[in-house]
Amino acid sequence: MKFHLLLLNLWFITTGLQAFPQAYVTNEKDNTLSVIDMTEFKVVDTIEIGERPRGFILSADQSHAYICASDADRIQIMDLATHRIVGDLPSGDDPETIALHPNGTTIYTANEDDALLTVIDIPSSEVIAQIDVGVEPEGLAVSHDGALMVVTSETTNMVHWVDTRTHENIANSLVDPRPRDAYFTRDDKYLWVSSEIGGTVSIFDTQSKQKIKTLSFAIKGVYRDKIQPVGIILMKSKPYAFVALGPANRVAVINTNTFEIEDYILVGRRVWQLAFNQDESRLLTTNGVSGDVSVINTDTLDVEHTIQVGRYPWGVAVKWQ
Amino acid sequence: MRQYCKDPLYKRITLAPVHGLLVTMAFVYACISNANAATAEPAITITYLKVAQSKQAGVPSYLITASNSGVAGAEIAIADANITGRFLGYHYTLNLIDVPSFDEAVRLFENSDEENAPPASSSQRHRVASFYASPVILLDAPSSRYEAVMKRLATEVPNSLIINVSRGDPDLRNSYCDRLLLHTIPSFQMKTDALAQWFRVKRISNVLAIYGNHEQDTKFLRAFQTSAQKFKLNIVQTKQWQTSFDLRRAAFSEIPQFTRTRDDYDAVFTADTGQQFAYSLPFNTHRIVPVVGSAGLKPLGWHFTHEQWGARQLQNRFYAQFNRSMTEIDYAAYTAIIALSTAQQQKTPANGSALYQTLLSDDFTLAVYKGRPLSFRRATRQLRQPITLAHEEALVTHAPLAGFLHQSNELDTLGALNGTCKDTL
Repeated sequence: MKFHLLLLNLWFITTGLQAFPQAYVTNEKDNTLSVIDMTEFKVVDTIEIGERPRGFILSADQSHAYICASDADRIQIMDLATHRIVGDLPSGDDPETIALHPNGTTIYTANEDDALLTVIDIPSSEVIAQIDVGVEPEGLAVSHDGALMVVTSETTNMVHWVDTRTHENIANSLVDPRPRDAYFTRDDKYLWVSSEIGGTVSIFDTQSKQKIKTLSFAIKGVYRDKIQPVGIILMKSKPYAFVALGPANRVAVINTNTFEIEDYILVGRRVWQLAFNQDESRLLTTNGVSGDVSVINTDTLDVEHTIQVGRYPWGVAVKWQ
Repeated sequence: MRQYCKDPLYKRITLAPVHGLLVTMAFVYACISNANAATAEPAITITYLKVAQSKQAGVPSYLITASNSGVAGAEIAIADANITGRFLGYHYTLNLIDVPSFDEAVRLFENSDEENAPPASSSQRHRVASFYASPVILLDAPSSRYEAVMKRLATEVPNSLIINVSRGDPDLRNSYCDRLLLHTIPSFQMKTDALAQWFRVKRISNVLAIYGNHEQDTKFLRAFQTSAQKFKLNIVQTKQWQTSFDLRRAAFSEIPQFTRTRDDYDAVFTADTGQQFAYSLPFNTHRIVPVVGSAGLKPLGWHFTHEQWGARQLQNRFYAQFNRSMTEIDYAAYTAIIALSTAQQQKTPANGSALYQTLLSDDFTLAVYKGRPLSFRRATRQLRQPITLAHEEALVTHAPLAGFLHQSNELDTLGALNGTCKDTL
């Protein structure tokens, strides 16, 4: 009987893991990963991982996840079929964010304490290059064609442009104070960069590396210093961008054709990072201070669900296969 | 520049032993190109002038200020600023003049131009020469000698920008209007206003105020009295500390006596800038109530418990380098240099008056781990900034507290706004 129960348990566990789509959220102050079922919109599992987990991305085939365990000074590799940590990547000290090259084998990480960008080859687990960048590098973005990548440095207030073939820092552009996140448009023509203390989003021309537009935000009843843009995400299917505004507790909805800010969506407290599901019908936000995730319907722009996760949710990604 | 190259080389090799050679080669190249950048742009010297405070007797050894207080903040700021400068073509060096007394500083200046002066060491001569070449001087001097120091600086380096990184006296914010002087350390008034906001939110209105014998204590007390008036607090009694017994033996029996008053109080404010008594008040007062000010809940420009808005990164870097926590004086020095670096990013020439004009201009803002853009008040030349309310175990909150509003900037609910230097710009 006991054996049968065990089998039944195993069956539940394995089928539980198979129910996709699922969202993963790193909880910075709990050292855990919350797993959210995206059909029921509830937490189905909480997994212990390395200290101070922040950046979180999926491998190209979504079979593995790469997790920045900042205080453990490593990037952990998790097998998403078993939810077990199966290895580490040599990240350098204090990795905060990670980005994957479209080739699926090169990973970039920002070493916040050392003013370095580390380039790692996944199959061999080796550091290919380390590039000197500004103080406290954070936001990473790789162009869709894979030729270019950028890193923003929070204290130097710069966007550093890096050639992905030569690993050379080819240009540096000044940006408003405390740049946090960067995102290339689908055609790679423009780069969007958020500035937390500047309170702006800057749009750069990828060719000339010049700033072509600065967006600022104004929300009725919210003191302007509280509007602090952090996470940026652009839709592939529609001309819309979403920008998390930190302690303003809102996500701005921006038309990427007209650069008009069309709406502000009220979410949880200190909204940080953003992720879409597969068809971009849902947008997930991590809300650091309220310890939850808001699920936004991208058609109606309503918050449909609020899901309590761990303390200081930080990184987020959705797995659908 | 060499220092900078040395350190990461070591790190890189330990990180990637297999690729050690390759990475080293790449690195040597990077160093060469850095060196080129550095030679193209002459280094800008910033002098940190530290005139030691005369030591007060009886401070417990665990409360004594570190000898590199402030200087450590400047050092880490210069390293940060130079990483930015590497991309933009400027480079700072720190010139430390650390003298036990003002007289010693005067001797240094006087010997600099006298042919028959006693032979100074070459490093000393170099420091003095660098001092005269500094467009900016960070000043960390005791308030009792401020007037003498400022007067001397006016003759020695009339065109240098002076940034006060250590003194909170309100009168400094209202004098020397004709000089290029800024303050990155919060004023006493900003700190006591922060405490008063906390009192209002906690619905505490009756406060016992105790102050020490130092003239700075009187100034801190006076700032609190102004805050009490501004935020409608009732100071039930004001008492000056009497050093008639040994605190370490008798605090438990004597302090309850000393803190007995006719009218009840709900909190005790302490003004004890020299660490003479406030530290022994918590849990010893006649009425067991919160102690604030120089002990207990402290209003500070910076505290090691502050981690938000990226502050933890700076705290970590600081601790790793100096093996102690960052203080508000370190932070004031750090902020001063980052402000200069930010001004230079806006193409301000490296001279005292140009930097001064840029820093005081309306569109100048600064991001330094406080979650808001900071700027200078023109009337008092004081850096607007949130005040951290913390005790030794944890951060309590940052002032301005929610609900204290101001028509132009919430930070202006802290400190004096109407200074006398307004019209001299």
